[in-house]
Amino acid sequence: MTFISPPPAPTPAANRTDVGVPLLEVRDIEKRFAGVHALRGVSLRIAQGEVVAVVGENGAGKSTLMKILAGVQTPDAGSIRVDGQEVSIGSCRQAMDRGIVLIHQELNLADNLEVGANIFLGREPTRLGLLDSHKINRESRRYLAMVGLDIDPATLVKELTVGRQQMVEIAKALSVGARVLIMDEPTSSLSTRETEYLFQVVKDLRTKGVSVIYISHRLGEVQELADRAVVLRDGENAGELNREEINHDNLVKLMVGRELDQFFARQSHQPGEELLSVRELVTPAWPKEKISFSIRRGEIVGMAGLVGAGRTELLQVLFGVDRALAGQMLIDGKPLVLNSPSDAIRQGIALVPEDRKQHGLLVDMAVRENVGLPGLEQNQHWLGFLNASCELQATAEMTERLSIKTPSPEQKVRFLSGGNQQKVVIGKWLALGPRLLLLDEPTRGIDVGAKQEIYALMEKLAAQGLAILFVSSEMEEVLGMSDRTLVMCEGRLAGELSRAQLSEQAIMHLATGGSLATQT
Amino acid sequence: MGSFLGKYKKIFGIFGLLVFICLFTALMAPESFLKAANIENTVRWTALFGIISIGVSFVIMTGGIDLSIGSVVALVGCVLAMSLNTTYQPERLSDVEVRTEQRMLMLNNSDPPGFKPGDRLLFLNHVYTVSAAAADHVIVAEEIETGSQGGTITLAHPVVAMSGEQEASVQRGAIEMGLRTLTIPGTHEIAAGDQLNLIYDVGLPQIFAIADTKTGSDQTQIHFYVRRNQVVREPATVFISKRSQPFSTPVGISLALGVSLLIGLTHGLLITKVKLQPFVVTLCGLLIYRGLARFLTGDQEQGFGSEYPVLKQFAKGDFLQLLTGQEYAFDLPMPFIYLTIIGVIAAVFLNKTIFGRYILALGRNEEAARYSGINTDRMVIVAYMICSLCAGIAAILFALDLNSIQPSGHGEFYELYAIAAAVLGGCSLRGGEGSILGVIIAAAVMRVLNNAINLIDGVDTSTEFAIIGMVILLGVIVDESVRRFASRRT
Repeated sequence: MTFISPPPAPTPAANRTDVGVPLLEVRDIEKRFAGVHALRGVSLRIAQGEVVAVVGENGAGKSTLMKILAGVQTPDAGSIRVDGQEVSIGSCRQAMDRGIVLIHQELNLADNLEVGANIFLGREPTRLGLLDSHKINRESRRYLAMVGLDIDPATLVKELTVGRQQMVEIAKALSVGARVLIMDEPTSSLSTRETEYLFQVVKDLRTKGVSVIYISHRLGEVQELADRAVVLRDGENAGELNREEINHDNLVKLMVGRELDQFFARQSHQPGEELLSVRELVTPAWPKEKISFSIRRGEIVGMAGLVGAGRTELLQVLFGVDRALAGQMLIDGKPLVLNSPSDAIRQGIALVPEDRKQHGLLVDMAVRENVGLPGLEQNQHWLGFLNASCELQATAEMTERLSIKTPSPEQKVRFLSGGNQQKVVIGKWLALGPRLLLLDEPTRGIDVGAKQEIYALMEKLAAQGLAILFVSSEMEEVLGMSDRTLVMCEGRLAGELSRAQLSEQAIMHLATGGSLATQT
Repeated sequence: MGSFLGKYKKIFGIFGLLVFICLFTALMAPESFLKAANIENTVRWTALFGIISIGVSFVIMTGGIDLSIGSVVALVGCVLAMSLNTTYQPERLSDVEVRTEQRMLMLNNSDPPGFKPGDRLLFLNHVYTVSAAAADHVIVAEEIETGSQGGTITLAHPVVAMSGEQEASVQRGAIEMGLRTLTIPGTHEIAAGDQLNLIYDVGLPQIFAIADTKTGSDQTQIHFYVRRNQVVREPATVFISKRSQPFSTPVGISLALGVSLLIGLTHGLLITKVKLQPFVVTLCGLLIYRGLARFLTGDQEQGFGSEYPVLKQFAKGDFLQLLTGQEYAFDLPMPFIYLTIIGVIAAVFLNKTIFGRYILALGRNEEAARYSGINTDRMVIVAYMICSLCAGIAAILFALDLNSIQPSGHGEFYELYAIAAAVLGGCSLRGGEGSILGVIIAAAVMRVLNNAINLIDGVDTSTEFAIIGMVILLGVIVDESVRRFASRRT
């Protein structure tokens, strides 16, 4: 793709300043969600025409902070100042009025409408009560030109590439008079060329005095773009790096740097023979990458990586939800062909999915019905009649074994706590006696006590010879639970770390695109 | 008991509504509403609509919809009527050319039947006597009263004897008839159901249905049905029309059910494999099957006339009468029996088999069901096939009951009645829940309501749709409020 008129090359901003009153400043922001302390006194300031990168692990609090700045959420405590004036931002509208605009990770355009209509959505100029399409077109062209996009404002958004759509979104932000643009992972779905172009636009905006808060997992981008990098960790400020200090090692050091809790009653395992072998597997999500690895019986393998690295997509292929494009899978040395989850289940593979409520459970059905569901076919009577006693027995057994707290087997799963819901998901698979258990973010959204129970359960199952592959974005969990860790980065298996090699730094290094060889 | 109440609390609501409407109507129009015939009729229509409502409730439980039911009822009805369309053809012996002045009929048949003098021939509704016969022509004794150049001839037989008295009173379908016997010379291949045509010297020919025949050495005795008070006299000449239908009755019914299953399969495949929206697929179906029905029939009314009395008896007769042979003041219409059978099968299928559980599960959350190893596509296809099959069964019953199918209008809006009954009976359009008993009761509510509007003085029948619409709306509002209240408490 080519942009017709590339923006001018960046020039050093004349009005850039690090002194005086910052354009936007937040101090000691606190935010709690049910059971999670997401932000613990975070501060951030940005001057006019400055590009500040906000960096941190998954769950460090970046997104929450940005949502607060953009008025999507309100902070529990702390202050926000714009031009030195303390303000409260209660809605997106109010944030926009103060010139703060968030460009979402997933684009927020109505792709069935024209470019011009999107730019002025909700603020359409009218004449005599009718849409003033002349003005829309004229003004749209002006803002599109500011991002170097020379397209007809009457073009439908869905006909544009993702890169151009993002430019339209930036043009829309400029049209509301944005002074601070917040970009959340803007390059996650862009090609290399589109990314380069975006960088040009960001640098160009800087010269025009627009400030940019840039959130990215990709440390290379941060290095190239940012005037300053603010690192968050566990909802707190971990440190700041100036332009000249920004490099991969410094960033990773700040992102990590924390002691592991003694949380995991981990025993060492004696893995048995190889159970699953994956050879040059190609997933539909990353058609250019080939993945090879293997798992042995009684082994707990962790899979680390940043959000969007392709871990969930890999599990979905291993469970038959999506079909592999190429490659081979062997289970117990026999070829494994998976066209649907039922194929995988028949081979003794079970998946506890990431999105429990959408994929793991039927929340409006009883605990009994959920636990029984995968086994119905196996236990059916003549002509497909339900084996009710088998279902009840399995439920009773799992409730006991996993200590699921439910008033009765007939309770709707919706009314259970997150931890107990997760146990129901695990229980429905254990009732089938699987060989390979795939867990996708097994402890997401559940409380500490239930987490510990699930870790203990994983230990127990591995000791019984079950092979476990778990995906986790929680560093502690990966460090604490895995016998071996696979690290993914942008669809490829970036490396494999043994127990001895395992460290937070090593994982972050691989997950952010470093290679094993360059690690010091 | 608690869980029993919990399970059936939805049904109590709709059942209460039914009782209320019944009591109200009984108070307002006691004589007409409580008449046995009226109750029987209401039960009959409840049953017919109940069957299609059960069908569509399976589709709704998967979170889908079927708008094609009315058109399926029309198309399948037409298919049945056409494949059982009875015709009577006199046995054709030969094409002939006429030489009027010579009283000669030239036979065009390459393999002419051998005629002998004295044989009777039927030619253009007149009976002639053969006076001389050759290989390629016959000469008749009478003047040929026609300007026509040719036609076909049929063998006619003189009646040798006829029993003068009505021998017995027999049941033919629902009608009581007399049985008479006549004898004709020669041996003939005549089957029960063929038509007997009696021709007199003066007057119109009479047509009777043949009950059976008894073949002697050179005579054939024919038993035939006579309506009460119908006079049959001698002397007369007889010719036989052979009965024919395009398909035998079992094949015709199988064809009708096959068409409906095929329709359901197509819907299911389009929805699961091509990933079209159920609304769109079945809306197109609604148009396509209606058009197809009109095209196949040439937009002509279809029916069974007075044919298939036994089949009709099974489709719309009275159960106890069929069982015992006696008449009762109040009897159960046959459709109610079919509804009961289908309802029991459907309830068992839904609640006692893994397939029913799968349908409920995928209706709640198709993704989660798939992640649990359920072949969700297959179950969706099954649901659409059940729906169309029920529509097909009802179509057969509707067709035999009404005996008149107007391809352009038959079954119109039936899908809406069915969907309304399913929703009123406790199926959520979001999928995942439903009760067969509730749906049947809801179908009854709609029929009683319809009945009430017709019977109660002072209610304008033109308000029917408005009243039914409001009652459904009210039912759904009450249901939703009760559910909100219940979920707030838990």
